Amino acid sequence: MDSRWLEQCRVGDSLAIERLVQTYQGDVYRLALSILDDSDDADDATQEVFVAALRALESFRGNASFKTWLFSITINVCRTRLGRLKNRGRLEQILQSLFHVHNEQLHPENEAIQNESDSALWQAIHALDDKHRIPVILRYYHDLPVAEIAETLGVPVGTVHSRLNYARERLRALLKEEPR
Amino acid sequence: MTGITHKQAGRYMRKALDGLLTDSQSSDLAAHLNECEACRLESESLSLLTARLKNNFQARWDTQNGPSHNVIANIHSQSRRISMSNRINTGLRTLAGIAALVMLGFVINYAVSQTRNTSVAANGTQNVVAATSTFSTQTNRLIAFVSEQNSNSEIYTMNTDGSDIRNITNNPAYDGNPVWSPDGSKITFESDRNGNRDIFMVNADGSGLIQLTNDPANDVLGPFPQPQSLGYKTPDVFSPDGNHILFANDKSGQWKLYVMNADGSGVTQLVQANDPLAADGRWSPDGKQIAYSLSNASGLTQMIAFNSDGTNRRAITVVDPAKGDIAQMRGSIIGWSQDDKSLYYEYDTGSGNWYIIKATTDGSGTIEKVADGYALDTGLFIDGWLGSNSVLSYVTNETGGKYGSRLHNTQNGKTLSWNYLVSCGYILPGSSRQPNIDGDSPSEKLGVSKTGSLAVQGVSCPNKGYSELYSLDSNSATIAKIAQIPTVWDTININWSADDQTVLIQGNDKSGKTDLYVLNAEELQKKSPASPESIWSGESSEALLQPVPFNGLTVKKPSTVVPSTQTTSITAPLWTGTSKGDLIAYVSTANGNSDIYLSKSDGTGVTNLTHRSADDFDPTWSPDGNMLSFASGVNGKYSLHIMRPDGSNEKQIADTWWGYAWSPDSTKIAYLVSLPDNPSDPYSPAKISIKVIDLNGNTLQDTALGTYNKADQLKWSQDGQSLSYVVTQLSTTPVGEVRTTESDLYQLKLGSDSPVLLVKSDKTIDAWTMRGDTLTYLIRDYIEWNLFQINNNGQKKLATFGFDQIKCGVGANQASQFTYNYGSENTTKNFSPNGKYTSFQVLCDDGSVWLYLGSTDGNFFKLIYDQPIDNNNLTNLLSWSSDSKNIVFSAGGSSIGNSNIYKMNIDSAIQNPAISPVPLTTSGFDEHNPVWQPKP
Repeated sequence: MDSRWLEQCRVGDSLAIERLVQTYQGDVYRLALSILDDSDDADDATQEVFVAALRALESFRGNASFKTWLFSITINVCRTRLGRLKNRGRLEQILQSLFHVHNEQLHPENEAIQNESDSALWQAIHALDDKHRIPVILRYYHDLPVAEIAETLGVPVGTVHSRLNYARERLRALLKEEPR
Repeated sequence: MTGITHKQAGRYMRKALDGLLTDSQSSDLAAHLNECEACRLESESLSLLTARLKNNFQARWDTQNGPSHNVIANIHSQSRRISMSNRINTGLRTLAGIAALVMLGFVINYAVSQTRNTSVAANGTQNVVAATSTFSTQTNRLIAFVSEQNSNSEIYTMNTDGSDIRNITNNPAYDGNPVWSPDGSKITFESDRNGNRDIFMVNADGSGLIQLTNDPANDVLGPFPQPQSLGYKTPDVFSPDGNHILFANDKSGQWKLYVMNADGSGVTQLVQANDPLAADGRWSPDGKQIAYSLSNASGLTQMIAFNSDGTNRRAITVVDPAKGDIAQMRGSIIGWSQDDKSLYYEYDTGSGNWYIIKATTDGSGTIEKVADGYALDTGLFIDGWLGSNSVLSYVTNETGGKYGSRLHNTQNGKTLSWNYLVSCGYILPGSSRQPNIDGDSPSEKLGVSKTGSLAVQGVSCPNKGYSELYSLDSNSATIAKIAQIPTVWDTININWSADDQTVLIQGNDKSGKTDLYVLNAEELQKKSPASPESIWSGESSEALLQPVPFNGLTVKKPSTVVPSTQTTSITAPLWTGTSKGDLIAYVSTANGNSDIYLSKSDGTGVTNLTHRSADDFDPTWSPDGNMLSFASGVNGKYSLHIMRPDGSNEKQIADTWWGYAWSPDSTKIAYLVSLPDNPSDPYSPAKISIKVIDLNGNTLQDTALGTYNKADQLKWSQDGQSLSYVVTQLSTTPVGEVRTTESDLYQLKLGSDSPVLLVKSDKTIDAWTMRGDTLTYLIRDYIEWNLFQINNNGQKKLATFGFDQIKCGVGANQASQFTYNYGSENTTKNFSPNGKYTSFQVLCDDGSVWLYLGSTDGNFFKLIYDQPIDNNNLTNLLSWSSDSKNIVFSAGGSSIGNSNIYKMNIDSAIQNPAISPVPLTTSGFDEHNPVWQPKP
């Protein structure tokens, strides 16, 4: 860890903060996007993560990489936001039923899902709860080693492994039901 | 077949997917797969899933590389905000924000007092009034507001011209959600000061604090959560006569509604145990009945009424969709009729139709439709109110408010008048309307006067870059734009005085900056829009206008800034030049930003040396104890300042403020300068140089040292003739983890440009000290520290401090709960002045933090054995007294932002492990980074 920057950030040096954000904002954004699956929310979450991180720099433990630490903050921020999003999602449903707005219009990135097979997988992923979905995203999208996922989520390695196992079996079971 | 079973093979396959397979397991698995086709198919199926997951994720997210907005700019504006909201507070406020999608809006205040408080700084921080001022007899109305300006949510009051700001809660725990009593004499609020959320009441001047609820579960004043994502509804907390209070408690796992007397007695649960979520509670005008809506998880609503003592619970409407009744969804109460006999409420049917109903509350089930609409025609019902003249007014928004809204005034089901409210510069309906959004949705909030004759609507206009205020007349339906404010509000709150003469408007922008405005009756009647000046700017989650001025208080206000125990000990400048070795300088945020404070080593004689709005921090004593150096932002950029310990003779002497060291004769300062090759890469190598300046800032020496990833631990030799420092080379592992590859201690003689290598190590040099010819240094290895010594007799290892010796927990329950993976450990980089001890900060797996000392004779011991302090945020910035007998350090606070400073006698702690550190500061403000004055 580069304490040269961190110690400056710790006391609020704006230049150091700027460098810190520039360095990590891409990673944090992609992680937030992959959990929240909404570019606007990922935008806001990214900002929230850095603000939270800058506040909490003193608690940075130093033995994990700074990125891992930042990732665990990101996960926490996203979990909180997910709760809100779910509520908002329900609200949007009400509005949509009133105004016949299609979901696709609100989420243009859905167009990225082109074939039915992907769509089925996507639905299966979304059918997982956060506890199981987040490790899957960290492992298969962010390519994080299990040990790092454990550190990010603050759980033992064995727990991550068993959650991944559960998620894989669940996904396979759900995908078996998909039409061929 | 090989030596593993099919079941084992299955386990190994899954371990392999997670990179957890050992080499031998891997070869066993390979052999098994070679022979077992079923297992091979299973393995292929798992691999296929892996590939599909990766492809799918990449297709979805890889195209978006970074946030679209300027995170840096936003963070700069927010980085000073420290939110201490705890889980309840966060949940309530954030979800309330979501509800804004439909009922878009929040707070604002209006006001136009032309007297602006000059003590309010532009960045939103302000100095709280001096501790000695008294609470004068009020002739002015007050505003209660919640602010986290001191890193902790507190309730403050101020006058409606923004003057005389006072902290009336002044407790390091969360204090928030204030509600004025109807007579304006008291404020009820929520606090976590006893470990969970309870309800308290205090006089408007901060005196007479009483705790109203004392339940192990949480008690809150609302708003209460609603099902179906409708956010939170704010109930009437006080009965009209002020004698009863509605609140909610979560001991059943759900928030349930209760009523109590205003002194906390007579607590009665109002909702039945199996009722769905409690909702908005509304007192009848005579205070004898309470109505509330119950909504189940599907959004089905039922209106309930009962007597204010909790008896005679009856359903106002009985709707049974199973019997063909039209479902009443998402209902909300509009208000009671003046005769206390009927309740007006609104609901929708889930298909776009909505209704306003007048229902008798005697349980007879008599209902009457007062108004209705259809979302695609009249728009959605937004808000409604009943005037004292029995006019029912309501506002509808077309298409989610994007085209403006419409005010309807009705009486006995007949429309009296109506009018469009077309905001944000958009064209009247009927012509080619354009949505009132350019990316962002507008926020709206309606605030209705107590008599209901007038309402103020706040609207933010992201398309125009401003926000607007409108007055809505409930008789004539006249709508007038009364103000335009050049800020796009994110949330708006509006509240009125009881006499309808004054309205407070609170607008918070997206960065969280709050502006408060106070408008009086004259301002509301203005024909042309005003540009009112805010009476206060800062950061506040909510602000509430005192309903009526209360003149009964002439009580002297206790201290709001410095704890009363310390106030008396503030004296004239302490510095006499004679008390060397007895002073402690530290950083405190008691005045809303970081200042350098000074106290005696017993904690008395507290004084603020740098009383100003800029941040001053990181104090360091000159070795002769005659000067303090510190970092200051007073000139806009953090730089190094020096001053006498009474605050006099201050001057800036260098642009940098980090990584410096005083010369032993206190006449010079040396510091390391680092210029990274690639400023955008935190790990890029940097050109390191050393600079020596005198106390006027003149450069005496500037020597390039080479290119390294990091340089630190700069110290002078005892004779002041050379400087030594540690340089570190780092490498980044494929997973992004940064590791030390080389750590070297160099020495540079003054006047020379050729550093001499003293120690070379492939492990991190964590700390070092040199006394005479003897160099003692600490090397961190993977699972231990090793303490070495070099002198004329050669090198020897003095001690090993293993991580396995670290015990977490307290007292007799201590156990090793420290693992390298989850715990953490830091050295302080400081040896005691006598060179005997070095100190370590240890974070255990359970999150607790401990201090250890290691001595040159090999002892490694825990300084804090029992649970003596709140050891959260125990920092590794500790400081030794000159005689090496005492240390000072900061610790405490469940969140960063309210540490206290503690002192500990080392000999006593060694002899009696159960001894506790002595708190030197207990203000509840963040106090940290203590440094003990040297005694030459």
